[in-house]
Parts: sequence; structure tokens; C-alpha cells
Amino acid sequence: MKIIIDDRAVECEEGALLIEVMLKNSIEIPHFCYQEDLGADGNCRMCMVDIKGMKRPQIACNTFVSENLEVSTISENITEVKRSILELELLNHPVDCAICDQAGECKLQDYYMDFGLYDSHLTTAKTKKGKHIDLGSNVMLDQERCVLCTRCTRFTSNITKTGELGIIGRGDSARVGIAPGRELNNPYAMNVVELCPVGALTSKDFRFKQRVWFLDSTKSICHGCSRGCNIHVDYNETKYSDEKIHRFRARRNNKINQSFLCDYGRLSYTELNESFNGEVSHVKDLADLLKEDKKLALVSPSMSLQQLQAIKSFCKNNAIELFSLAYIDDSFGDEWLRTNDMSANFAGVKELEINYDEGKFNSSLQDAHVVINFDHKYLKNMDLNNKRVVHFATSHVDSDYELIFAIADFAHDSGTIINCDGIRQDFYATKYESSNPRLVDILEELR
Amino acid sequence: MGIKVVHRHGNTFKEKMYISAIFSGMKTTLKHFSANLKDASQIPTVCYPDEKPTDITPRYRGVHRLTHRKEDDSIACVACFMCATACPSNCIDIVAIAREDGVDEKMPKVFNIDLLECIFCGYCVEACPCDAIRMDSGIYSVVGETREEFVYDKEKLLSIKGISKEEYSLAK
Repeated sequence: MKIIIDDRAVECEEGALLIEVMLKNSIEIPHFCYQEDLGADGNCRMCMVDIKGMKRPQIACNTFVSENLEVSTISENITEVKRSILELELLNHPVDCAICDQAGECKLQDYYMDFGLYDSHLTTAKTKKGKHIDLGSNVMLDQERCVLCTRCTRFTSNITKTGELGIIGRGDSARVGIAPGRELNNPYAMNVVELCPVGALTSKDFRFKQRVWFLDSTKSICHGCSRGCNIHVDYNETKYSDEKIHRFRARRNNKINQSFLCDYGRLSYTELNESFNGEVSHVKDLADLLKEDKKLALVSPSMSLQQLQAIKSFCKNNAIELFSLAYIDDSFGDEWLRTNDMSANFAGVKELEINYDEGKFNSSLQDAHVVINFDHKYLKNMDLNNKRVVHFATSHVDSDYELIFAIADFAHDSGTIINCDGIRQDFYATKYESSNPRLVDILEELR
Repeated sequence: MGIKVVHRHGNTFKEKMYISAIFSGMKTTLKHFSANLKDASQIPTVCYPDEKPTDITPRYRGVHRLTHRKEDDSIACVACFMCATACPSNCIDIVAIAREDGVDEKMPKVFNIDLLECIFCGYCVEACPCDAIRMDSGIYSVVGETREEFVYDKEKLLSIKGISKEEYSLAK
């Protein structure tokens, strides 16, 4: 089916929403309340378009496409309509961009620069509402900045079905709020921060840490569990501070996580900032140690396929018995994104036919003289007295092992992992070089 | 594109002799020389550093200072990073924290300006939405023995007084 948007023919499916078609074809359409996963609500009125044959402008998020629909988004009339609606949305806005974390990725700022640029007509004082209210679960609410798009309330009532947030009051005093004595408390609560198109809901974890325009972003995959949610890793290195990862943001993938992330995964970036600050061993010493017999290796099931493959051939060449054990936490999983298997690539371990029999591993561990641990959490800091231990670690190790090698973590070493549903996904390294070498390079050196 | 033909000077015989140009130049020199000889107080040259300049106005871009709020004399800066963003030499280092005293939500924990990196362009002053950073201190000379002495921190910048009549931040 064909429709015409701004004198341009656009191919679309019958029964689709006009706003979906526009967003899919990268046609700019301002919107607050429409969100791909939450659907349309039709309350913000920002997505007004002129439709041929209709007397008044219509909202694109409540218009279904029909054959030869003629739509205009850039006429003088429609720009004036958008400007007036934006002025209404911004009427009581405190314009405190200087202290607002959303500045730089705020829809109000973008739309004001696109169609606003007016002087306020308000002559009376602005309505005062609650500011910096701690809702719990790392979410801060500023009611004055809110445009009442209800994305957050629709998320808590339709998606998590916990219903903590609601709109209280009418007219000028309408505000997002929470019932007295209750707090935002669900494992996906921080998604409302990302859903909020303005600075009304901000993250307490990211609060005042960085201005967003200083951040670089890299496409990655969350390594928190086997779901493999798609993320953006936001990081930077400045003249006065070392490289640091500041946050994870959800990246749209309709097959896996839509545009959501669980709080555990979202906050798991802190592990990547734990630097390795001990002394690392020489690769030559490891080569000497490999001459021993009865060697055993345990590899983390969160390592990428490339790393697993390199380890597998390394173990084969040096007659090392290789195991991998999944990280299972029965209390973690739920019906939505979180899975009990907290290893990022256990499906990859199975695909490469690495032994994951726990009983076999324990009996082999008893006999082994040399234990090589490729960043597996179970063996980290475990007492292995009478054995010679080699440890490859992405973060700091407290125990005093014979040989310790620091290796680059998943933010600094690209690769491929397979999620619990068998979907193969790539993740990429940040643009700054890691201080630790990549595992595959160390193994290459040993050949 | 059209070509504009420019007449080249210095090709006549009189100009090629140079004599007349030398005399007209010497005439100007001698005129000033005799005027200065008669009245030395009118010489516009300042014997810096024995003599200090007397014409430094508030518009002069001197060393930066951080202003205070009129209500409670606290720091006016809200750590919005506009100055650091505008700075072409990247000499401003800010670390923001939440402000707990209820006056505002945000303030700088660290605010360092490296005066050795600074090119005194004044973009930070232009960018500031809170009138929190100014260059109206009138200080045109900074002396130090180590590089660290040229990194002015928050306390130092707050302690510098301005020479303009507005002492406090004018931001509303």
C-alpha cells in the first residue's frame, strides 16, 4: 500500500499507525506520549499532521493509514499548531536545563529548537510542584519538568503490572506521583528514566555524574544473564579523568528486549570500572608451567565465542582438560527478561562442546596439579592450597595465586555471544584501548 | 568570477628614489621627538613593570573569578558545564555534586581552571547562564614557580574580588 507524506510516496502495510510508518521511514515527527512498546495514548498532541480532506489537523499516533492518504508535516499551518502545543506543554516548565541531567537528550529542548523559539506569553507566576523527589529504585522525580505523557505510568501499569505511578490532580496541578508511603519497587523500575522524554524522571545512579554530550556510545550486549539484552555502553575519557563507563542504556531489539533492561543489568556496568591494580605475571612463566602434567582449566561461560574457541584450541594443544560451569541463580529469573542462567554465553559453551558436567569437574579438580581459571567466578578467591593456580581475570583478584594475568573485559574486547534463545549477537569494544591485553592475544603469544 | 586590476604603487621615478619618502617619515619622527622633549609627561608608553597600567576596565579579560549569590553569599555556579563545553582549550575541570542546603540542586565539588592552558578568550563567561564565572578581576599578571600554582581551584576563584560595581551574580 502506498501513502503520500510531504509529496513523497511511502510504502506501508495496511492497518499500520501513521506515526509508525513515519518513524520507520525516518520522517521527523515530534511526539512525547507515543512509544513503540507502550503504544499510542494520544494525550500530548505533538504529532499533529495535516491530512488532505480533513478539516482540522489530526494526531499521527491515532490515524491508521489508508490507500493514497496524503499527509503534510511541514506546512506553515501545521508548524504553527505544533508551536502552540509545545508552548502549552512548556508553560509551567521551570527551564532549569542547567541542573537537569536530561539536557542534551531532552525532547523538549529538541522540539523548542525545531518549532518553538517563541517568547513566553505567561504573565502570572509558574505553578510550583515537587522537585527532586526520591521515588526509590534509583529514580528521581521532578514534577515541574513533566509533560504528562504518561509513559511512566503506562509502563508500571501495563508492562510491569505493579502500578506504582499515577497522575494526581487536574489541569495545571496535574502531576506524576506515587501513593503516600509507597515507593517505586520493581526489578525493571529504572526503565521509566529512559522512557521519560524530558527530565522529569532521572536516574539517581547517573545523577550529576556527566553531561550527556561528553559521552561516547558503543553497541554492546548485557552480560548480566543469558537473555542477551541489547545495550548502549556510554563512557568517556576526559583530559582530567581516566576512561570510565557511566551507564548502560537499552538498545532496541524487537526480538529480545524491545527497548527495556532490568535494573540488575543496567547497573552491572560498575563491574567494568573495577580496575585490575595488581602486578601481572610473565607469559614465559606460564609456558614453563604448561610442561607439568594433570592440568585442568575452567572457563567462564560469559566469555565470547572467539575467546572460547581460542581457549579450546589452547587446551587441546597443551593437553589440558577443559570445563565450563554455568552461573545458575534460581531466585533471579522471571517470566520476562531475567533468566536463572546468569552466564552470558552458556549456549556458546554447549555449541563448542565444552564439558559442563559439574561432577566430572569436581573429581578432576581433586586430581589436578595445575588449575587454569579463565575468569570463572566459582574459582575466584577459592582456596586451592596444594595446586598451582593460573588466573586470568578481568577485575582485581585478592588471592595470592602463582600466576595472575589481567585481561580485557567485554567492553574492551569485541566478540559474539549466543543468548538463551539461540540468537547470535555481536558486541563491540569501546574506542579507548584497554590497559589489559585481550585474552586471545595472550593465548596467541603462547603458541 | 571577475578580475579586479589593482594599480601597483612605487613605479614612478620619484618613488623609486626613496628620498622624499625618507624625509616625510623623518618629519613625523622629529615632530614627536621634539614634542616629547618639551613635555615628557605626555608620552603614552608605560614602563611596565615599574609602572602599572591605569586603564584596566571591568571589560578587560583578566583572571577568572566565581561569583557569589546575593541572598546567602554561597557559590552561584550550578555546575552545568556550559563553560567547560564552550572552552576551546579545555582548561576547565568540573566535578558536580548534589547540593544539600536547599538553595539549589547542583553545585561543583571541584572547579579548576588551568591558567597555563587558558587562552583568555572569555567564551566561558559568554556561555555561563548563571553569571557565575566572570573575568572582571582586573588581574592581568599571574606569577608562580610551579605549574600547580597556576591551577586555580574553587576556593581560590571564589575569593577573587571583581573591579566592576556588580559584586554578586546577576542571574535570576
